[in-house]
Amino acid sequence: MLLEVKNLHVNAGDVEILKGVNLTVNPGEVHAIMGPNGSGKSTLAKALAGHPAYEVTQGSVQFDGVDLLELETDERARAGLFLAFQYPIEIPGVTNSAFLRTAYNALMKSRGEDELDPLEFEDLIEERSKIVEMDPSFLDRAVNVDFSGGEKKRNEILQMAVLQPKLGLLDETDSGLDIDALRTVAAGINKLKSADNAIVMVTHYQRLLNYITPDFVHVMVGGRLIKSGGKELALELEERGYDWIVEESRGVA
Amino acid sequence: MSVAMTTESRSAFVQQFLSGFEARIDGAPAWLVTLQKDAYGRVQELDVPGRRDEEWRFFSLRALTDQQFRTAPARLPDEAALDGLRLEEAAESTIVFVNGQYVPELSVVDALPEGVTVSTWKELAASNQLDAVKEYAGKNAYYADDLFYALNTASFVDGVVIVVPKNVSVKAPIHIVNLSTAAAAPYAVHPRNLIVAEESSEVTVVEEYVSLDDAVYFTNAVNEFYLANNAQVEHFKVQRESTSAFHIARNLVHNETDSRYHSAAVMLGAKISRNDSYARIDGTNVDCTLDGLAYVSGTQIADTHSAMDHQKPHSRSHQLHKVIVDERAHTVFNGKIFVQLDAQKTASYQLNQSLILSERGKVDTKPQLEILADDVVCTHGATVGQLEDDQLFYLESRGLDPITAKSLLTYAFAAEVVETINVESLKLRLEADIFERLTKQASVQVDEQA
Repeated sequence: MLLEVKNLHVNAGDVEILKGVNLTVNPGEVHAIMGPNGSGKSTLAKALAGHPAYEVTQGSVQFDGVDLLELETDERARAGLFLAFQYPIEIPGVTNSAFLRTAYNALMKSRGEDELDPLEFEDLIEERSKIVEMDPSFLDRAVNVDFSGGEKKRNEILQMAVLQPKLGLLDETDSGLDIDALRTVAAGINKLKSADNAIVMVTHYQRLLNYITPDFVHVMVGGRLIKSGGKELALELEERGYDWIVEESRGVA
Repeated sequence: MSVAMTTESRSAFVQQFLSGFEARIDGAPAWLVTLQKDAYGRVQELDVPGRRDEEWRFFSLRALTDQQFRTAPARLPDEAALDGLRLEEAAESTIVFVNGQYVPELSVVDALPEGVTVSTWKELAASNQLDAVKEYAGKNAYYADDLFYALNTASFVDGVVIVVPKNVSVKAPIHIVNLSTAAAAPYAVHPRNLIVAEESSEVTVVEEYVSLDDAVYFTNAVNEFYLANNAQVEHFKVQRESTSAFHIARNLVHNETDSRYHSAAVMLGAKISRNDSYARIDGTNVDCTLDGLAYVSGTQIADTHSAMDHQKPHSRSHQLHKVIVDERAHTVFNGKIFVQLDAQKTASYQLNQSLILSERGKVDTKPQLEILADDVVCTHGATVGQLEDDQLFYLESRGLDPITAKSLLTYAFAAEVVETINVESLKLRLEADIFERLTKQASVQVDEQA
């Protein structure tokens, strides 16, 4: 088991957003978390990454054999958890190459492996850039500054390609992408997928799932995962919306 | 020779520099002796600035003006003192001063294009060559009422004189290194640099102040730059004085038509520093840049004043001044832009951005525009901020520890200025030094919080 979330409750300020989330992810699996706006999907992703705006009030998270909630954000990252941001942050003054190399070397250092100098890293980044068809010129640009929406999302996946996490949390990575950009990003994610890692995609749209086939689809409503199924559940959601699930869950409750 | 005191209010600070005028430089031509003697007279007339003066109101200068300074001790550090300071681009164009004294043993001035003068006042005086710069020395009146300028003019014993003749391009940067060492008593030095770039000439000057020890001393420097038509000058200043030292500098720039002066001043050291620049744009189609970075911590004070004086039409000026304040440090920025009646079609840009890393850091900023012409584009602004939590989280979510994340973001803020330094080895050295200091500072704070 790679990730086990049990009864997770999370507050943003005084407001409880997550009200008891349970989720188990094994290596090699792809999960999709869908749900209407404001249901708590992004909160789950950010809380798992350790965003300071979210406070865990109850529950537990085991990640690869450790208590994730005991780790700081940077420790979670080095332990192999990666959050692809819904809105990637612009960092003026830091070039993409310097950023990627610093992050990569932080990871190597924590594993007791050799850090790469700029020249060695150049080779690595050249190879990984191909995964998302990123033009090498963008490595000299400041992180996400003046990037188009599609470039920002591709940049997130490139970071994932460099860091090769055990778990990739993709927060609305597909939102706002045109079809070509979506194909590129999805192809990149598919290339990074392996039997040893896992992917949790938070998405509002079924469209992404045409390109990345999930093993499990979960529906989040009101801060809980109220229904889980296979990839066919996503198609049903696309056709019927979320209301029927809400009704169904009320009926059960 | 003794000089009678004119007023009772004359402070001991000025008094110490008024023990009688004598020619400072052996073999100096009469005009230079007169220039220094007149300035000596001026020192007697000028008051010591205090907080009552608009130009000095943001902090007390008492730490400096209560101090008594001696003549600088002669001390020759060995070559090892210059380890890590030499710039590979300036391997054959480095002039080293130690405690204000020119040290030929540590200096290398070789392989310059024919006709280029890179020398010192004393050397040129000894060989009767100073008359070549007579029309440039001490001609700019902007600091006529400034005690420190007068004190420098009256007191300077040496400094660099550079003359680049018409159409000559000096490829290697000229590196002026001012080293300061520990001494039994505090001392004052008054470096004076004069740089004349004749028509269509090009030169890069790196002016550096470094302390080898944590010594108390007072650097009171003056630069004069003259750019004739179409001259191109790059000027990078790095101030890393000891944090017990005082650094006051006036940088005068005179731009003729089509000339380009590009400068960046990086102020990192000193207990109290005051870096002033005055650029007179006395021609059309001039490009003039006065960029700067001040990074202070502890109880350091870094004050930057500037005046961009547009006298003629169709010129452009640029000033990006960045400030990083940590712990209880304090910075001041006062940037004036004058656009005179004749200076139509001026385009002037000024931005002062400050980053405060601590609760008790202090920033004063005062941009000033004075525009008499009616067809100009002038923008100015000032921002004061802190590191953004979102940015920190983003970096940490990629595995950067909080110290590295904070240092990287802070460095990124500074980088915009450092990156304009087109002497590669200097730029890389500064990047490394600043990043190391930021990391050290951030570690201290993390320890304190823990």
